Amino acid sequence: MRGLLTLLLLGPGLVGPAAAQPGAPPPTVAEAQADGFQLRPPDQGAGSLLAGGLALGPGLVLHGLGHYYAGDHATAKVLFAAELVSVGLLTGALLANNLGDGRGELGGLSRGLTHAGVVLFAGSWGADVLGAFKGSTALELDSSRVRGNRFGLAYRYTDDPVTDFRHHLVFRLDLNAGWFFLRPLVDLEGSARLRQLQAEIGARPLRGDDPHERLELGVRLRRVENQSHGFSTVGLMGYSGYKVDLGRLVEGLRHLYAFGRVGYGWDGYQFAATPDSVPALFSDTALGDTYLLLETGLGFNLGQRTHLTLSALSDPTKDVPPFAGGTGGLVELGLVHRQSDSLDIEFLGTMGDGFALLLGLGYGL
Amino acid sequence: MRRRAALGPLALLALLVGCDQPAELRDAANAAAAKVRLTDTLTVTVGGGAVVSTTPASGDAPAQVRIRAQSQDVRVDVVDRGCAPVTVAVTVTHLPTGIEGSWRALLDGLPLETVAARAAGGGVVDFQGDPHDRDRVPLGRERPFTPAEGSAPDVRRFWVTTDRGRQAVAADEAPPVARPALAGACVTPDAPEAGRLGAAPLVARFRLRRPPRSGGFRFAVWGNTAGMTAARDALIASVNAAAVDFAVITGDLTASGRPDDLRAAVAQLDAGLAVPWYATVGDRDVVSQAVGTVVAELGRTTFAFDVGDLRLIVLDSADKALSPDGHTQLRAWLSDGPLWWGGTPAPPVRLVLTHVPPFDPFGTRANGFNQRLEAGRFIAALKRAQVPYLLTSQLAVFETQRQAGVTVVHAGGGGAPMERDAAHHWLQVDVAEGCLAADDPPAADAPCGGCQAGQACTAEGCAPCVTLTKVEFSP
Repeated sequence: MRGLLTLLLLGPGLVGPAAAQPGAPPPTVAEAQADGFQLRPPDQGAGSLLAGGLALGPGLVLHGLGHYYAGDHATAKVLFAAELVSVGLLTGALLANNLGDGRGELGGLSRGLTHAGVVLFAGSWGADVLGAFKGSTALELDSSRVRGNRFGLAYRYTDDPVTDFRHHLVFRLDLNAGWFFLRPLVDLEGSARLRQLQAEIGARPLRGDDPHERLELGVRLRRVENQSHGFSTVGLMGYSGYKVDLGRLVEGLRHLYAFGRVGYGWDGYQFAATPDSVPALFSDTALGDTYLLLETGLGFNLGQRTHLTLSALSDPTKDVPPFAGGTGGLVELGLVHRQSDSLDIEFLGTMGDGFALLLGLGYGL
Repeated sequence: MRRRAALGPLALLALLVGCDQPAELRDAANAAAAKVRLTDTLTVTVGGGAVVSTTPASGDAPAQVRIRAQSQDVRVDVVDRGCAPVTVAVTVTHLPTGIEGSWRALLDGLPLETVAARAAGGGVVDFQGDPHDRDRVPLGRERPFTPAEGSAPDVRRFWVTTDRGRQAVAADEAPPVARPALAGACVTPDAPEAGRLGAAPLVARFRLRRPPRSGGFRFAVWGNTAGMTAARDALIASVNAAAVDFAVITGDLTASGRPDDLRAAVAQLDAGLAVPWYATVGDRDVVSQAVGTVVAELGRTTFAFDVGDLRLIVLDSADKALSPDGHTQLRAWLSDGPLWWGGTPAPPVRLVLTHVPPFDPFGTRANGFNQRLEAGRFIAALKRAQVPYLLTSQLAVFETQRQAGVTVVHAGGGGAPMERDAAHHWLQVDVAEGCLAADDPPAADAPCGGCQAGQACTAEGCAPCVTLTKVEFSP
């Protein structure tokens, strides 16, 4: 009896108002507006399947084709110009490599130009596809935290085909004081035979009206102890990072953020006499190595409280081996769900020739 | 109003992921080249070489196995688990001249009482059968034989006939007369005639090697020819003039890994070089290369062999990383264990050759290993094994670096355009006789007292064990 009553009460709601009122005329625009429906503002173009299809297909060669078809000619020109710039960057990279006969002094420049060119090419094409499908309305507001201090605790699983390191515990702090930040982190592999300790110290000299937009300058200090193979590294990397709202360039991409980092690092390698030990922190370094860190990505909110990031990362010091071919980089996909004002649920997937998965919690302090 | 989010990661992913074959595929191909199953009951295993092709038996024609030598001391085991007599025609290419051959028949097993005695004796009491195969019972002594010459001076052919029913092996220099099967020849473990090891597989073990000789030896090393055929011709002429014993090519034989280009490079080397040559692949060679073509033309891409006082270890780093098998094999080869001739003491000195160096001198260019942790692990292993030299050819320069006691030599002058107008070159490696083990220097009052690790005790006194000479040539 109770179930029947429930069904009778909920039934109309389950099958929808239209079906509950068969034959009733659809509401008028005024009636819909009274119920909360908002008309598309006249200055915001609509997306369309055909526009998106054009952007996806022939738009791969002619970036901006989707927006052009949808009537947003100004954005189409911006995207096409971005494509031309990307081709220029890639050409510059090729010239730097070939004219220099692959010499080392130009290697970093060549890689940087390649990274920028590939990212800009993919980004302008992706922006055309995204904007052409969805139209020019803004995305959700960025829910990622920009102020306050946090403590994070996470479990990380790594799969490197040539090592036995698998399960990790990650502890980190994110401390902010005005312009400055301090981010210490400890990553302990389950057997405690791989230990990674790092601290990032830096400042944000430029911040936009939008608190998510910023320019960062920082230094990363790091020590990695690999007891399974008998060596450790001590290193220092200086970097600059940015995050900018692409809506500044393309109206329909408001609240879609581009972010990136460029870093130059040095690591000193210390070797133990036996494979089961690790040299002391201040032991002599037997060799020094420099590297470039290049990262570019996109971030946007999937919903009101869930922020997604997708980035291409070239960091040869990570414990996940990069893709063997192509640029030899990594792809990272991150999700942060703001469960409450003081609690975040975090996921980060890193993919290369191996992979890593991180699942953690962030607590506001 | 709902928002739709279209992602474009697939394009980025496609751009990041190259078209190269993964190292694991080459690992599998390498393993398959070491042991092939001709029939359900007949297998051929190779040490110091690779099986590059097989042809099944057809009518009166026996099964054929073609082996590419990748050492100066090749071992071929024909293992028969069947009943009827069976013949295999074996062809071995890229052998040194003046080889000496021998063979021995064995049963692949030990009597239970021998196993028990060995276990109980704890090494004090042991069964001395064959010094190289302690777990096999010899049938007769090691016999010399001379395989027939093949289509070229470095090619040898021989025919192996095994008859497990009679526990007999014949090695012939010409196609043998077919023998009928012995009635009731198939011996099963519970058959009355099984007796002691009657059911054990029959092994015909062959050895083809350059005779041991006194004095040191010399070999050539180069890489990064990148398909430059005219430069390769000049390089071959230069190497032939230096009277080396063999050559090792450390990768980048082709410009972009096309199978036809690899075959052309192999043909050019076979036609021109006066000495045996062995090769691994570089990053250019795996861009569009089918795994089968690589192994069929070059043999295994990761291999090692002992010659004189040296163990040469050649590693496949074409993916700018070592494969899982590569790491495992490196660990084994850096140890003091024998390769494929059990009971043979390991040489005192190791030399490692590969295409991609672990660390690029210009780290921001990133022409070394893709992952620095793996590079550190690699150098750590070489340091502990006190490897004096790591020879590479990724960089089109000639440059040496001292890394954790290992001298890393960047010698990519095999024909591709050079950086900074450097000269094209190859490396002449001279290895003296009497090299001292790095971890076991002689006492001060010994005949070679005063010689250091990495040196050789010669008639003239202490001398460098391994000497590298850069030899320039003009394409």
